[in-house]
Amino acid sequence: MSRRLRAREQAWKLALAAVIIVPLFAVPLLYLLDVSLESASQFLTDPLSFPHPVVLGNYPSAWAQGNLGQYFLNSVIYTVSATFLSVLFAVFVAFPIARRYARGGSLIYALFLAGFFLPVSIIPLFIEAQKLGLYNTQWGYVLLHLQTGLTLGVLFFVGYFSNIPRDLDESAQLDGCGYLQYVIRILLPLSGPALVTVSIYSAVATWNDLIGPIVFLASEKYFPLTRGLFTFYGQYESEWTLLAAGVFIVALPLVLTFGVIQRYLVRGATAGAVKL
Amino acid sequence: MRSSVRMGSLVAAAALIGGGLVPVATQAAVNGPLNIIEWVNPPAVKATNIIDRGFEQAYHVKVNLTTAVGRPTNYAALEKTSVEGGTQDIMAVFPIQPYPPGMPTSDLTSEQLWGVDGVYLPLNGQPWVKRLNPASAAAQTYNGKLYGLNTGVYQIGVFYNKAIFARYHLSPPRTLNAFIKLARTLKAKHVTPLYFATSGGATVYDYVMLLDSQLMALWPGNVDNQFWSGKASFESPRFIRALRQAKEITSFMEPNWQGEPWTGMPGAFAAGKAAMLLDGSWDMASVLTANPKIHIGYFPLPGSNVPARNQSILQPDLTWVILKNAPHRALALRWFNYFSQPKVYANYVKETGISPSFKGSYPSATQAILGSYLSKGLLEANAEPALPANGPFVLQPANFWSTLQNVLIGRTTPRAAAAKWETAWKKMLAGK
Amino acid sequence: MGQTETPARWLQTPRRRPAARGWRSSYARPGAAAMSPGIIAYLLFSLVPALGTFVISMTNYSGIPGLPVRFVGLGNFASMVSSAAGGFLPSLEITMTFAVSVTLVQNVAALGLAVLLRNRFPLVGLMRALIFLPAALGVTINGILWLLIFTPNQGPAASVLAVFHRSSAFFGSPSAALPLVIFVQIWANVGFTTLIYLASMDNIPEDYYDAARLDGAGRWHLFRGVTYPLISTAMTVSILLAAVGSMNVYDIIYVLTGGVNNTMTLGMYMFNTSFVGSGDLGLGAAVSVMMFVLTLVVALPLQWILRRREVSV
Repeated sequence: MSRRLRAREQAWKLALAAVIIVPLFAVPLLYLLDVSLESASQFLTDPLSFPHPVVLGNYPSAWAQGNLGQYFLNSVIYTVSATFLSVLFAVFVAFPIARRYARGGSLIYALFLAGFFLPVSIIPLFIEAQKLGLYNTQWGYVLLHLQTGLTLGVLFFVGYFSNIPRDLDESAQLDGCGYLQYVIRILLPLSGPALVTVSIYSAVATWNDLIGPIVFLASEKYFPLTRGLFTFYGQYESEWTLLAAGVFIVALPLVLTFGVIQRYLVRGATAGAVKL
Repeated sequence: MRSSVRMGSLVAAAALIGGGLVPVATQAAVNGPLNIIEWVNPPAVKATNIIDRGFEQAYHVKVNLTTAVGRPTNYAALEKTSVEGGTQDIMAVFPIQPYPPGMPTSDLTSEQLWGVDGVYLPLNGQPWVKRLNPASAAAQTYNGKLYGLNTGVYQIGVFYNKAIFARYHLSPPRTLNAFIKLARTLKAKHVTPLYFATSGGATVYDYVMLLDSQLMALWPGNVDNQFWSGKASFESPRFIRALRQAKEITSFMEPNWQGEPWTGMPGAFAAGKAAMLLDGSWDMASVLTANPKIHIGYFPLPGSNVPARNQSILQPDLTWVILKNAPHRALALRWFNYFSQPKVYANYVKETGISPSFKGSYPSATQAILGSYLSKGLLEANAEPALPANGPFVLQPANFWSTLQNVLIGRTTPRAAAAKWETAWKKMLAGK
Repeated sequence: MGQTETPARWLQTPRRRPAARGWRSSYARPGAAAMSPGIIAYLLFSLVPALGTFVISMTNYSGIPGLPVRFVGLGNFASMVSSAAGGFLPSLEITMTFAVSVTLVQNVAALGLAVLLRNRFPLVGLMRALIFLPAALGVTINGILWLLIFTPNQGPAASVLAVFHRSSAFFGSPSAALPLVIFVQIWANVGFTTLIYLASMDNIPEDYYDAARLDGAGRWHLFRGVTYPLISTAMTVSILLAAVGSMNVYDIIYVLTGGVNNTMTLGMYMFNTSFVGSGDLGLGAAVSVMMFVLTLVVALPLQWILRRREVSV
């Protein structure tokens, strides 16, 4: 096929994709933006046209009434801590298994593998959270979200670390490099792609959890975005202009962050999924 | 060696993370903060917040209020986790009485069950109890123990926009036929006669607002007790007629009313989207906030052509209880005392429009709307069969309401639904 | 991190025979010690609760303080499936409808999108990012967004229907709610599935296509003969992920309908029996166990069929 012909085919394909994707994936967000800039009276009579006049006041009101900053901050804290801790823990579990440094390593590996096939255990976790004093605390909430990163991390890292030459450990040992130092200074920098993949899965699971905050948290000041925004939605369900502004305030940093890191995200997420 | 020392401290740190907050929690028990949960009824939440701020100033403690939208759904989950979690002090519930004499305790709602099982702190002898209306106190008493502070009673019926009625020279109907005639007139003028909405978890409204008004008008006496003692049938002509009438009334609602969010009812009525609103008086404060210029009138939703049979539905509402495992019990009792001070409670009534549960005069804008109908009517709990929480599938509240909704939107016939309910009901009573 | 301090010469040391037993290494002891936080966390927050689910499912545990807990054997399972009291069977049917539709449509749509977006071309990156965006926005924002669009008397969806003189209660309609919930679930996850297919297609050498083209293969034959067999591993992964994920779904249902209007999936039913209404944690745990069994019953044969297909190609 000639290059020109192929370019033309590509253009057709892209046009077709755009016709499907833009209305489904971009227009809803643009409509949200549109509504957030309308006055309440325009929304009641004529929601679909462009804002006339443009009302910016929905944004400060939503911010003031929704406690959105707090929810956003909580979500970031939970996601970053749970991801960081679970990946770190998983690295330290996986490496000795990969190197056979630990006796019973394959048993431990099998235990983690079983974790993939276990039932949803929100009820025992709820009871456990109360008994261990983790219920309705921020630290508890983080610990209750180590599951995804830890299980996936161990399985994924064992395979990954086995491909890192063993000579590396031995040379480091000969040079008197301590274990912790070795893992942090040598092993982790070599494991970038694996760390990214597992972190993405853990972060998405924690960030998106809605039932967790309903079951494990009782105080509004600890709510992450998922539950906080849902409460906000319930309170202002009839005031769509305010609600749309609130949702957009939260969505915008996500869209921007996502735009910046999506290349890595996409690569990491798919690399992991295909290898599993 | 160096590395293993560091490792040890990492393990220790992890252990601290897990257990670190326990001592903090016990220490906080002395001073507060006081933790309260409440379902979202915007005026009541606003009123509670005002009262909490006052309490904080008076007692120099922090009060946290956590809310959830949707009493039978999201809020029920918050209650469940709170009762077990042991972190909350005060909880808002519905009154635990009356429930029918024949009903097994396993079929009570969880709020009632907690009352029966002694999850709530008995409040007999508290200084505010003697100022309570006797009827209100009775609704909160089980086995001689008083469990809650009932904040008052709301009324369910039809609220109408006086300006729209005046424009078409209409006056409030007193019979079902008059209501239907009026609604047809409005429809002919392209005005939505009646606003009502159940999406977002309020199918219960089909039952307590619409069907109850019809049952009440057609069926004298305590319907609840008659069903539970086996003397009433879902397939009786009266019940079928109530279903048919309820269905006819929905034809005057905005199209797709079952897909409109229930939380939007006051806003839509305030914006003049319909001439009338089928709702509880708890929403009037929100309507007046959304549109301070609106003039509102009220009448009970008729179900009969005998005017005297058409009455309002009375719903004893938000009731504060203290959890027995509350970390700050003494403080919670102090909050109850503060709440029931006439000056503070007057503010609650003013903000919410509730009909007061304490003796004395507490005016509000909503009471002015209700006018001569104020506090007159029949208890919701007596107007409908109480549904068994753990009973047969089709009779469990959420499933019963969704079948009822299917009747109202024409997906199933009144007879078919009634037959299904009756079979299950008979089987349940026979099994006791 | 102090990258510059990393002695590069370690990477160049001559190859040595690996130690026969790893645990003789001087890293063995600190290594084993450092495993403990991860293992403790795993036992505490994954394994013990999972086993706990089985135990609790055989009790009448209600969680009410002070109420005795009794062992009831398989009583919860019996009452769950009994036609009179149980909500299990209706939920099972809804869950299977949901899972089959989502798995099929999501994979077919993702495959189509992947074919459209596989070559490097201006704006393709933007399109790829757009379909992946819902994963970043999260379940609550996604849900609210579609609730706004499907407002019955006002939103854009109602306006589109009005052109055809139709209207709907959307999420408030017992017949429309489930298809709409299925749509939103697919919408939220199709991007991820597409990316799996894209990654897999990127690994197919261009020579294969050139060779097939020399043989005169048309566009369909290129797909059927080259692309389709070579992405079978990716297909196994994404079909399994979609099937298992959709059989356990509850978050999006919680936001969109709360389980009314024929959308009470097993996940939602489990949540409702445990935490709403009568709040029966024993029964809720029994539902969890059934969901687990269902996942195994569906996923294991499915995996076997898919893997066999991979080999046979």
